[in-house]
Amino acid sequence: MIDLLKPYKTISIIGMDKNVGKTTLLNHLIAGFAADGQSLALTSIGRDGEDTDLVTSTPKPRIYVPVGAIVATAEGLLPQCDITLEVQAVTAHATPLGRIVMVRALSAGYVQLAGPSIVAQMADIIQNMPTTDKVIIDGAISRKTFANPAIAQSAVLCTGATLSPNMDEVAAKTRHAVDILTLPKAHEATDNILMEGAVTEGKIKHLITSGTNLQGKVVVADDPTKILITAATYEKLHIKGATLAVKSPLNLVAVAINPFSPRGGHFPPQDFLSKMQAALPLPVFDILEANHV
Amino acid sequence: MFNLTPKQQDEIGLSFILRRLQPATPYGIEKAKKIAPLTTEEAEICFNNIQTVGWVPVPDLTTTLAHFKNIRGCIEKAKSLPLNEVELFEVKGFLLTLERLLATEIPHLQGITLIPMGDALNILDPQNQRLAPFSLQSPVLAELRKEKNRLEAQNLMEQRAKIVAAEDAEERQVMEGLTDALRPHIPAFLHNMEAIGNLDLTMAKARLAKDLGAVRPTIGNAVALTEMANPYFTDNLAQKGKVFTKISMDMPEGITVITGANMGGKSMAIKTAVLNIVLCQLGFFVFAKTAQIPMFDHIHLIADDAQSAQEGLSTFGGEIARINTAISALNKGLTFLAVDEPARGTNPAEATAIVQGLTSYLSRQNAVSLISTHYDRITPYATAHYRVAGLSETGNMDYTLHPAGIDDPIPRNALDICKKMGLDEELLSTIQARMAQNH
Repeated sequence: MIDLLKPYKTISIIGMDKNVGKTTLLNHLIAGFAADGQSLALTSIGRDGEDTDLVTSTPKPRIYVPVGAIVATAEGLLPQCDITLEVQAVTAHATPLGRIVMVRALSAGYVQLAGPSIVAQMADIIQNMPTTDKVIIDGAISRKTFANPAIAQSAVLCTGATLSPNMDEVAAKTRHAVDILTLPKAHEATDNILMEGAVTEGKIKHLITSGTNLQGKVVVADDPTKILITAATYEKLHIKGATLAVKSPLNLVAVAINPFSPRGGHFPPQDFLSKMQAALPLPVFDILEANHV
Repeated sequence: MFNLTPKQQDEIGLSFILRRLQPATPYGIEKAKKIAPLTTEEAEICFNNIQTVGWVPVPDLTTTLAHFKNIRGCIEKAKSLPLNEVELFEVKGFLLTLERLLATEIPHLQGITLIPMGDALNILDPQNQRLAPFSLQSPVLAELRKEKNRLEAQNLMEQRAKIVAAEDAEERQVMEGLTDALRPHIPAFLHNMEAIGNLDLTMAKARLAKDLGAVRPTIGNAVALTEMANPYFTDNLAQKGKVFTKISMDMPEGITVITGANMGGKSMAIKTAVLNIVLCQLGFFVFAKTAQIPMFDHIHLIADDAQSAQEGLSTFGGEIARINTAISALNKGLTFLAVDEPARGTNPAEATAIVQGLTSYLSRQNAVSLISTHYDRITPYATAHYRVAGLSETGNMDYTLHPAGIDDPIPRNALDICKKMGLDEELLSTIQARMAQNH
């Protein structure tokens, strides 16, 4: 995985749900890049990094950063970070937990991340961070928006057993997410159907039932994270002869899977990995094993 | 002291000018928000300073000023509570910027002095590195951190947790110590914020004067303005492809009357005079070729009809109420009173008497008054009389304001305007017939 992400400076981590192993992947990437001698910066969308999961009350892995890492987080969370820190900058961007500040870790340690929830602010923060080799953006639950291609050069999708007790269903759900997230850039065409903002179930169903001839038509969204339709609806659109495309494509590089679910129950790791590798057109990694076949 | 409604401030172009005043620091912005009339002495100092700044090229200064962040909250907190590392970082940032500012060539301005705060900066930067990043340091912390790193390296995380707790406690001590050490410098912080605000505001006023072409007014006993302009009107007219006609007017103590054609720009002339007089009171350069303006204690503009309806009064009723307010303060200092077409909303016979009475009364007061009117036999009571040039022989409107004799008659060209506006011919000829009969 580290090798795969080498060419990219900014990496966004997207989770399909809570407890899919996003923080584990984050720690894996931090350790991997650090071992590789790469300097790091970290930030997050919304809040993450709590000791226990606020949704399921299960213990969560914490984010551990090496000496020298740059962390952009809310000033209200600094007392909960146990790194020795040096304040680098205070930004004007406010969150419910205070303004976002940039600190450098003078010691290794645990950090709590909370970043902006507005794309423009995230772009500004990344631009004004002290220069590092890598910038990792930790996504928060259901906020895939920050995989926004305007911000991250690459993205990794996290998925896992928490999605469903049925392995096939996890594979199908993830496959749909990957299909959407890897939609190609739209070619300029006069009969493209442009959809600004969120592409919702309602909008697409309306299009399908409107009687418009959709044969060969391309429905164009701003970027893949704006598309919020189910696999069934996507299928119906296909049957009508239309395809989806985006103005700004996302560079989804890999999928990380977590065979364990905090609700109990887990899949046999090797079976799950094989199933997901067969189902997905991208490199797949087991986040606990971190083994790439 | 200014009885100008927000709507009037918009209409005369004051809001337009204030929006263009753009200080670079939070302290300058505070000052701009609270801008208020000055005393004669304050105004002279302010004008001297704008002039001084205007003569010095200061791009470095503006760049440095733009680095100041608002640390008023931190300084307020430091009076009683320890500052945390982010707040200490911000205070250090302020002190670093101040040091840069002091190293820049600052024009010497009256009443604006910066206090060097190297001692305060040394508290937060004991090694004299003068870099922006800030971290808490002490010999005890150094020892604890060495131990923390050792335990991390050996992955002894439980023991590390104890060290982290000790580090936290020691950091709190250091924050308290630093805040205690900074506390005696609070008066210097407050003084410098004030001085930076004043410096910034002065520079913003100088930039505005340069950008929009304003000159230093002389503070005198009477109003004398040559080639006055109003950037708000200039801007509005330019959008319609028209040009603002500059106005020259002397207004001695007493009453100045403007007469002339409808649509001839009498209201614009009054608003432009009020704008420039108000700007002078606020310590701005004014839009004219030359300007002499007194420092007034009261300024009234009575021109706005919409206001009366809001107060539940007729146009006339509202106007009388406001005239009454204005004249009740005439004995409390020097007043500037401008009334655009008084009594226009009532019957001409009584209105003429009202305006004659008002003119005669105001000519005897400790005030500079300016009115525009259409009514007859007003000017004999006036101190000065100006007339709008009006329709030229080619049928175009000439907005130039000409000095006229006290006894010069009121121009009569309402009919010419009717013609120019393309009034129905039958109606026009009926009116002309009526007019011939009346004379």
